[in-house]
Amino acid sequence: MAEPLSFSTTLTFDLGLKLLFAFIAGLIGSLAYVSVLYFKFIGRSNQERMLILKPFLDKDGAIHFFKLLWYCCIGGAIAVLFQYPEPTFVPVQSFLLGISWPAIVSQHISGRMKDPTVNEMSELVKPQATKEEEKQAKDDLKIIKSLFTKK
Amino acid sequence: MDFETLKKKPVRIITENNILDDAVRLSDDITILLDKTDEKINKNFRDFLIVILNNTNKIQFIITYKELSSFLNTFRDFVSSYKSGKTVNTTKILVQQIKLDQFAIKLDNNAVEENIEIQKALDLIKNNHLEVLVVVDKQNKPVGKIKRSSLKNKFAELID
Repeated sequence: MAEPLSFSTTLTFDLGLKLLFAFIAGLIGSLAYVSVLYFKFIGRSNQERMLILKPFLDKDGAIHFFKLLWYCCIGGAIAVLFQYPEPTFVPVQSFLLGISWPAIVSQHISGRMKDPTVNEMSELVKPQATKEEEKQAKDDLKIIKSLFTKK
Repeated sequence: MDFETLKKKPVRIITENNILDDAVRLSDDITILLDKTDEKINKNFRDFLIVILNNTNKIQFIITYKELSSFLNTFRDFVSSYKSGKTVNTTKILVQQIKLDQFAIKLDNNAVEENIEIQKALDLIKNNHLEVLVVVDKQNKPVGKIKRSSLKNKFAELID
């Protein structure tokens, strides 16, 4: 006959179960996000959607299973971290964390880590010449041209 | 190719090769310089570029929008001095007679060698607030230019 479970064993079992469910909820959240993109529910154009979906695709343009699993597992793991201190299972929080974990991560990084190329490119393409300089140059040129024709 | 990888590539892959459209020779008549200036100002002021070449096609002077004001003042004074109340006889006046060295910029500040990394060219554009950067070969002969206004499209073509 099996021995009854002790109090601490039950507690650990309950906690483990909560964390497992949180992981699954986070996993589903991440999967839901990729699915919404894949089935074109969000994004203004294919080009915009592909910017996000491209890392999940293999050379043939199909979704790469292990990359998708990797992404979803991180969503699940983050949901577990947030579930741990909670006294009860919070499935909605876990699900939402699974969906939005990239935004949470990017909010907490700073400086050079945070998408330096976009800032650099914006700075690089910002024009330096002003409209006033352009107008002045055109006026000066008119004066010179008039000197060529003036009698 | 991502942006970080692209920045380590030689600058010639983002270079536009039509720089002879911007070239005027020291031995040209000043009306050619005037027409070229007129054309460039009205085409796209921000991309304004005139390179003055010597007889061996090496760059002697570069004029961008930054030098334009000083250049036009010098040009105006020069033409005025020839005026003498009559129509200017421009057929005998050459570009080399204008004192271009009064305002012209050093090659080092506005030109890069075609084999340097894109990163260095971008640093130069950013730090010196340039709209156009001239690309030269080892003999200082122009091989092309990089326009700030075209960078975004160039990067979009090359970055995955």
